[in-house]
Amino acid sequence: MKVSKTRGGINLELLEGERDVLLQLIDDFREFVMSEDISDPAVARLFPDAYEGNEESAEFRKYSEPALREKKDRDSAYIRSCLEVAGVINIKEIELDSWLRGINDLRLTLGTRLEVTGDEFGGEIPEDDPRSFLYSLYGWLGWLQGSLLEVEF
Amino acid sequence: MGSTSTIVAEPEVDLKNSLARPWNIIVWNDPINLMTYVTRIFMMVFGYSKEKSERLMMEVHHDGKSLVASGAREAMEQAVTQLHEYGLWATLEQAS
Repeated sequence: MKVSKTRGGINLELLEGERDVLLQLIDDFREFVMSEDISDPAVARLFPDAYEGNEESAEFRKYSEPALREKKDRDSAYIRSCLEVAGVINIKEIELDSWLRGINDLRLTLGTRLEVTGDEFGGEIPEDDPRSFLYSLYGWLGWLQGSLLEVEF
Repeated sequence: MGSTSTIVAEPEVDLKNSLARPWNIIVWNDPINLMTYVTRIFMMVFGYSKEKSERLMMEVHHDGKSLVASGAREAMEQAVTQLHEYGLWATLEQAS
């Protein structure tokens, strides 16, 4: 992965393997984001309660959640459309937030599944841990998002 | 007494909302969102300066939460929706 600044945007170069994994992850996310099972911690993290009171939260959710779900799907659909075009991906400055939100949603979902505490990357994840691939994917997404955030316009 | 005092209603003053107790937006710490990302969100959603956004982000990080905005309920609900779009853990509460 390589991130560089261009006039009015960012060039993102991904290895083929990275692009394939990100495409797969985006497609999985677009299916997952349709879930309304709020007892799932990852769903609850993507669609948090807005109030401490259950009644007010439910009322707020009723009006805001469908649009929020659609927005999240739209951001990831947009990232997918960028990934479908071969070669260097040019992200225009005005489209950067769609990328940042979409990548962040993947990190929130994966991070909640892995129950990250923020301290794991000091320690080593054993390679034979079945989650080690997901941890490295989570780390890679953080690196990608961090690199996009570093570009100053 | 010859003096009188009159008040002319100003249409742009929303009296009902000015008198109501304001609503606060609280952003809670989480181990996933990057610090640079949280700073950017405060700049984008509230139009805060980088300095103010960084200060609020550090408050979230160190204190576990921060009161990031305060105002009329409808405006604050819209801002919370935007924060949720960006993936922040944000809630609303009425000022005491």
